[in-house]
Amino acid sequence: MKIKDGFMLREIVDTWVVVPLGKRVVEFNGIMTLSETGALLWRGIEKGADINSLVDSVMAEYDIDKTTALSDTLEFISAIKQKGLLEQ
Amino acid sequence: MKEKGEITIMQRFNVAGLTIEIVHNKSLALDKFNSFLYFGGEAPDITVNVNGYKHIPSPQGVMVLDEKIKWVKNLNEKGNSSIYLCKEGPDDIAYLLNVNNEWNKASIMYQEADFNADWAVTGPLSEILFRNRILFNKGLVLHASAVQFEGKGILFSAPSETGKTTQANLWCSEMGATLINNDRPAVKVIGSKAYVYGTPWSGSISECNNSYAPLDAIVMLEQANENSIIKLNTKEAILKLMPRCFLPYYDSYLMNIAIDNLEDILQKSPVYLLRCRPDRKAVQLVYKTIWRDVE
Repeated sequence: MKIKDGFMLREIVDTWVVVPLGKRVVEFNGIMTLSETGALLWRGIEKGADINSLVDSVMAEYDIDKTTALSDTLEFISAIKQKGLLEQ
Repeated sequence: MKEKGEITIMQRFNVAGLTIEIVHNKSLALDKFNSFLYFGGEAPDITVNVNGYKHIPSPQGVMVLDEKIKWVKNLNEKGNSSIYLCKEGPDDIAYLLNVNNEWNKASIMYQEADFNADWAVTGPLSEILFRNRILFNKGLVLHASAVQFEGKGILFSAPSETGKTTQANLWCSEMGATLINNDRPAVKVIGSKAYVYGTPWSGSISECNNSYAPLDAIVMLEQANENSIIKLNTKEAILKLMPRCFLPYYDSYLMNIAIDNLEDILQKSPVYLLRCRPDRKAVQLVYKTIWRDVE
């Protein structure tokens, strides 16, 4: 699982934003905001974490059970995949 | 091409507090720049050498933007850029800007048979140079109309054809506000305040005023049947305002600086959403809201 090159994750005040760069500007056509959890997962995926590590990182950061953390993680992966941000 | 014995003319302009020095072999008629003429003697923030050539060779490097305007990043350690416009084919270059990675030392070449130095300086290449350089001075250029009234600066921004000019004109006619810029104002943070500045880049000379004001409100516009105004939270403000900023999408280093600047501006100036009709009541609603919030 790998995020495509050409996207920049930045925090602006209290909001996480994904900004396209270069040729991604035309493909993506816009900017996307992420929740705190989304930004945590994005950074994990950028570092090459697998699903188990991502779930662990969410559980370590937030006081939630494994089922909820897994569900949130899979939902996030599905969302960014749908938006074409993951390498096939 | 310069020949022996030719003179060199230096003209200086000050835009949003940045001194731009233009060097050419004749004095240029730069209409929209006239009110920005500057005679200060300190070191310039941007130096631009302008020269005419019979033929402009294609720059070498990686093409990062290949549209009407082309951008090549040179394959050297210094990270210089070449940005150019073609007349017909890709090798028929009309104007070319070469610039260093700090965007403060530049040269603009023009094909002297068909093109001219005046436009080389006032056209889009100099604008791109300015809006990338101002990033280093805690600034950004936005697509907006800006007015000042009673010492307060207000920016109206929205996608094209939404009514930026209409609202700015209403403020001038109904309230006696003065126009700072009608298309490409610059915003710069100095200390604890953001300021909005006129630039020489807008439709006509009357829209390019050399003035500035504290930026007390950024007003994003939407057309509506009834007038209403709300203050946006950061997320809403980013989603509305960021697409209206001229951001350096082709350079991640510059983009990081630009986002730092945007963040700084958002922390210093409130962003509102005005759903409005093109009428006096919209002006009064903005006036009441901003003057209430600021004072």
